[in-house]
Amino acid sequence: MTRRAYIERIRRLIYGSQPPSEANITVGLVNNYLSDAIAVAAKTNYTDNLKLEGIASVNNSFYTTFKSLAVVTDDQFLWKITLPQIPVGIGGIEGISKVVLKDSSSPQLSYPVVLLTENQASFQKGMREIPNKLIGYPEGEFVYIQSTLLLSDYTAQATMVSGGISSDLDSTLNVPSDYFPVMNEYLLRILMVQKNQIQDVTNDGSDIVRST
Amino acid sequence: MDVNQVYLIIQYACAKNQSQGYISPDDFNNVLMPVAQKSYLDYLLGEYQKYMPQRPIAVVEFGQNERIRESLAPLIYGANLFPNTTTGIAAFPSDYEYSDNMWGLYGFYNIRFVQQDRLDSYIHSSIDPIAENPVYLIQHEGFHFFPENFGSARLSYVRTPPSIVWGYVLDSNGIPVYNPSTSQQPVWGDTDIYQIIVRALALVGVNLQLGVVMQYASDIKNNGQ
Repeated sequence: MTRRAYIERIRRLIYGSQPPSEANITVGLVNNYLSDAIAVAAKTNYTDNLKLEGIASVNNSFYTTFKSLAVVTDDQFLWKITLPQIPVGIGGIEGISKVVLKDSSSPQLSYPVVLLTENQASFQKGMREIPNKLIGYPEGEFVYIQSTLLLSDYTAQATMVSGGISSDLDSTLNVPSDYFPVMNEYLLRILMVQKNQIQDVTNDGSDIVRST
Repeated sequence: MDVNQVYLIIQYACAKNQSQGYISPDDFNNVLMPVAQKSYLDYLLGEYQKYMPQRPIAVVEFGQNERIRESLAPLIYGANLFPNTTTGIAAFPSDYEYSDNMWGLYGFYNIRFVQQDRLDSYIHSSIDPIAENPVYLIQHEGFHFFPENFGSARLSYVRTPPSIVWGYVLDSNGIPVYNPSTSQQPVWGDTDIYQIIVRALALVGVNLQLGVVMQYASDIKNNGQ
C-alpha cells in the first residue's frame, strides 16, 4: 500500500467520508505523524518477537535501504553520513541494521560497517583495528565511520527501520499489514484529539474559547 | 414556471379583484422580486441570524446536501482567476455572491480559505508549507492569494440571481399586458420559485397591512408547503 492510500484511509476514518476542503487534518499532517506511528509499530513488533521467540528483532518488512548518501569528512579519520531520518530508538542500535559503502565507478559494495553503540564506541577507541572492517556508530541523524581511508570518494547505503520515503507519498509504506492496526490505533487516537478540540474561532485578542 | 405565472399567483394571493390589493408591474419588478430573491438566497446560503450560541450552524446551509445544491444549481458558476503575481489579488467576478470552492487551475488541488487571524500560522507552517498548500483571504479587492506569486485558480461560486422581470405593454385602456419578449424569466426551479413567491407575499402583506397574507407567507416559510 502506498503512503497516499494509507493516509486517505486514516482521513476517511476521521471524517467519516471523503474529507472536505476545510479539513484541518491534512495529508501533510497525517504524513508527519506517520513516522511516529511506524516507530510505534516497529517497537510493538520488537517486543512481540521478544515475547514469542525470546529474540529481540524487528521484522524485515519494516526496513528500507536508502542509497546514494554522501560521505563527508567530519574530523581527522572520521567520516559522516547524514541519514534521511533519525533511526527509531529500539534496543541499542536496532533502528539501523546495515551501512555499506559503494564505489560507483566499479560499482562494488563494501562489507557492512560494524556499527557500535556509543558505549561500545568509547571502549573500542584505542583498540586494535579489525582487518578489512570499518567501524562506525550512529548518533542522531548521522552515522560516523572511523577510517584512515578516503571515504568521501564513495557513497553510502543505509538500511534502517523506516516506513519508506516519507517525502514521496506514492512510495510503498514498508510496514507489514498485520501491524497496520497498531498504526491505526495510534494515529486515530492522536488525530482525534485535534479533531475534537474546541477551537477559538473569534478574533478578539483573547486566547479564550468562545465558540466551536 | 414563467414570470407571468409568478405575477399572477402574487396578484391572486393579494385578491386584487376584491380591491384589497394590487401589485403594479414596477413594484413587482423593482421591489418584490429583488428582495424575495435575495431573501431566499440568504436562506439557502445559511442565515447566520439563526445561529445558536456555541453552534454557528443554520437550519439550512449551502452544501448541506444535494437538495440544497440542486436549488442553488442555477446560480453556481465557475471562473478562472489569474491573480496579480505581485499582490496576489484577483478581483471578484462581477456577479459574485458567495464562494463555493477554490482549486488550482490544473489538477483540482485544494486552495483553502483562511481567515486573517490565522494567516500567520498557515504561512509559516512547516508541515503544510504554503508554497505547496496555497490559501486565500477574502478582502475588499477580491481574493488575496498566498503565496502571492501564485499562478492561477479555478473558482466555483454562487452568483447574484439574475433579475426577474415581468415585461409588459399597455393596451388601449392603459392596462399592462404581459409581454414575454421584454420579460426576464426566473432561473429557479418550480419548487424554489414558490419559496420566492411567499417571501414576496410577506413583503406585500407588510405593505398592504394584510394580516392574512403575512400569515400565509409565514406558515409556508416556517412549515413548508
